[in-house]
Amino acid sequence: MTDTTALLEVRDLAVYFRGAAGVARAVDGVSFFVDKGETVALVGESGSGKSVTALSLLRLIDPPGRIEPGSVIRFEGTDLLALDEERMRQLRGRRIAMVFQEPMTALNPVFTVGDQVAEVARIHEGASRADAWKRAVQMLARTGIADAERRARDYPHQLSGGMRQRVLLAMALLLSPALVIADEPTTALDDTIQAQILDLLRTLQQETGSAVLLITHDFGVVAEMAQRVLVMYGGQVVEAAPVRTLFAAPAHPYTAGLLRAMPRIGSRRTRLDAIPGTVPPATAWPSGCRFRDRCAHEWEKCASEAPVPIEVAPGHVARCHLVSDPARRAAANLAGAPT
Amino acid sequence: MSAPLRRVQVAAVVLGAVVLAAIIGPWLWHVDPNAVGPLATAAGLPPSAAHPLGTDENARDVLARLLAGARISLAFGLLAASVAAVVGAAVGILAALSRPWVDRAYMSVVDLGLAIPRLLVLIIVTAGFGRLPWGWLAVTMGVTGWFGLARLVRARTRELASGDFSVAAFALGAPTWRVAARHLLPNVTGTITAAAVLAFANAITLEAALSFIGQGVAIPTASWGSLINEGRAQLGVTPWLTVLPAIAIAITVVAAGALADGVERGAPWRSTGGAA
Repeated sequence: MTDTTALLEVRDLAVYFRGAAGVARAVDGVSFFVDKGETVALVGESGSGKSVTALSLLRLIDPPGRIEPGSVIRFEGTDLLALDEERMRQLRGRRIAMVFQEPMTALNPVFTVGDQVAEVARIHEGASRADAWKRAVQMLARTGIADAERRARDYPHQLSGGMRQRVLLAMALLLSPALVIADEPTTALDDTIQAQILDLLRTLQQETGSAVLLITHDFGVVAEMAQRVLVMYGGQVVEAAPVRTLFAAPAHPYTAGLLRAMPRIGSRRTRLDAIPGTVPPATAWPSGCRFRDRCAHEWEKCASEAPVPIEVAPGHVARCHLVSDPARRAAANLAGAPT
Repeated sequence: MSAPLRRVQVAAVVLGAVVLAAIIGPWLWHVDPNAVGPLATAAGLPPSAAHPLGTDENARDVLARLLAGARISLAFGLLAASVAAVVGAAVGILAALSRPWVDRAYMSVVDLGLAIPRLLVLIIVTAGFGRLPWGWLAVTMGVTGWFGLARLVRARTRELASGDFSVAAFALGAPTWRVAARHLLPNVTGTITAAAVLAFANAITLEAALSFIGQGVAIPTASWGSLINEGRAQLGVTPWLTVLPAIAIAITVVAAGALADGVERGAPWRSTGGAA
């Protein structure tokens, strides 16, 4: 049977937080898809809405935050936003799992790591204590933890940061979920350990056939891991493209800025090009294009009219007026090689 | 060894000694605390070999009464603190995990409970029901004394519940009860223990205050509070009747306070969770 529908399809996702400072539109009209087994990177600065997007896929948004009506999250053909809480709970950890950024705080300090991996099997499959423990030890061994039998009896604080991240991967992948959401899984780790963990994630992904939604702000990680990239800014996906396309020909000034801000070996320049300014608060996005305050190519249309996603090429979409204005786009020279 | 740890150890040893005295004291000093001696010759005696801490105006042995009082006062504190800890912890954790409006309802009850002077409530209860058996008085004290504890537990639980490992547990599909019982409760036991130890000290002083105005445990049962009350009329003549139980209360309360402080500050769980 050929399956033409995506594993995960998100359409017009909006998550608002209503507080004293007004309505924070943290995620505002996000649409994307993830196919079976593929790795999609979700890139953006802090405050761009990446993590809120990830948590809303698991429906773990706490009040005052709310997934707004009109949002659609379709996973394996099921409308997740229409599920009751119990059915949703059964999906979490079994079909959709999450790997968190901080392996220290994401583990409970009062239980052994073996216990915490085993808990996943106990929750979802009602496995016996002994059986769940055995599977946990096997899984820990698969994540490359030497002497897993003994290490499983350790508490989180007895393990190194890299080992703890291996434990989190073991928890997430124990039940071979169809989708793994990895929220900056290597940000808290040393570079050498980071490479090992990414390798491991890729290996486990091949074994389980899981798709990965990889949240990161590191284009090095993106290049190494992902097939497609989604760039978020201001609670919206501003550009989506296959990895090679995005690196070679970014269509949104924000993406181009992020790429230029990346250090490169062999470059003769001593300063990095930072994007001026910071992400505005989610309660006060500018009118029109949300990036225009920080954009070097702004003109009148950017303030008066909010850009909609426009197809640049098949599979390549950008939310920028430059796309529909070839003259200005050529002048902006977004893909221009950094000198 | 760090200074706070030493303080906790000293406090634990002192408190342990008081408890030990209460448990085995009455066996070692085998004198009936309620036996009235010949009033003409044995009332209000100063310390002597026959009565190491003297006698009271009814010619009863003060050491025996002090030890018997320790049993009642400590058991009283323990019972009151247990009731407060169980009710307070349950309400605190439930409130922290409930929907905002349920949480607000719980906390309104807590605010109300904290706003009403507890001693006044206890006086009204004891006046209404007459002299309660000490056990019921202790339960009443626990029921009126869990509000502060509930607030502490709620704050700590909320902090932990929004922390990474709770979110991670939810993300793995753990049901709320499982997150509460397996992930949150073990991590708030430090807070609960510390608050319960303080509630214990609080109950002992409150019982003393009630006894002082004649509303505490029923006579002739000896508690430290009732001993102070009995002795105060003769404060100028036989000061030891009042001073000794007062010292016993002071030692117990200070030691309990130091212990609670150490448990709350020195414990490893202070440095975990919370970071979002």
